[in-house]
Amino acid sequence: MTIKNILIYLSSRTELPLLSKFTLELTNFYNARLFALTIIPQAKTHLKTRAEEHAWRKLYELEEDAFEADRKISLLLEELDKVNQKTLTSKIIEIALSYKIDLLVLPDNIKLQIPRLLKELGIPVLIFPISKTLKKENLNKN
Amino acid sequence: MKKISELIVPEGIILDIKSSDKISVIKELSQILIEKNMISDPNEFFEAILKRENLESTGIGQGVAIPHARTKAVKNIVVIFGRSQTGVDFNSLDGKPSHIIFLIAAPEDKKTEYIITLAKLSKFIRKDEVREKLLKATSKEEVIEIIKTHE
Repeated sequence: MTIKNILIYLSSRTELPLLSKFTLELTNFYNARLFALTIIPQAKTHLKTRAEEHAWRKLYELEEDAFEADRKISLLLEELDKVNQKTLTSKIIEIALSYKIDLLVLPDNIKLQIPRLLKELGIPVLIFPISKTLKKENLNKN
Repeated sequence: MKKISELIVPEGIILDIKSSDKISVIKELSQILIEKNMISDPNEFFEAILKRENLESTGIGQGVAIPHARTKAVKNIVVIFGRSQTGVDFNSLDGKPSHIIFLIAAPEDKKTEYIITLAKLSKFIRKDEVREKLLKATSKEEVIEIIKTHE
């Protein structure tokens, strides 16, 4: 199986360090190009402005990690009129198809229509257990 | 945390970039940093900024590119603004040439500030109104005023 393009979706609640490390190792293993995507609401409000800056921060944090790991990365920030499980899933499908994505990485703390993603994309979808990994890390610290 | 308008100085604004390709544009903008003694080692800075350009596209679409680097060669975070009438190919994902170019240089130990500056700038420049005004600005002072008003 050839994996040339990997897409990672980052939500505003995504804890980056472990997911970033995992995804970059995966990208390195396949010698693939990484696309990082965040999606924010389109409404022109103060909240949107904050959400957008926060989203860019997540993207640039990952970009910096990718740079340090010598991996190719492209940053994508998309907007949606209404953000819900259905529209988010549709947008991720649209982006994955347009960039010919071969593997999708998702954090486990977002709600998406996973069966629909699998059916319409026909590619592997890896769901990274952020919440469990964080709990384990906290237990180890204590 | 400084605002973008505080990181950019009139000498760091070029309203009509002469170069036409990505590498030359980066060198033209970086020349200001060298002339103003803002980088201790030009070669190290070029190497860092060009390495990133080789790894990824700093063209963020909508006619904008933000080449950037964080290295020991830089003394303080600084933003340089350049405008190209003809547009420069920064390999943007939307395929459009970049007419507005912000170059960001940051010291190695200022990672958080550097990322926040990149995020603030990327958010600010996605506003249609800002890009239109920057493309029409007739003086360096006007560019700074536009940034102050909209950041």
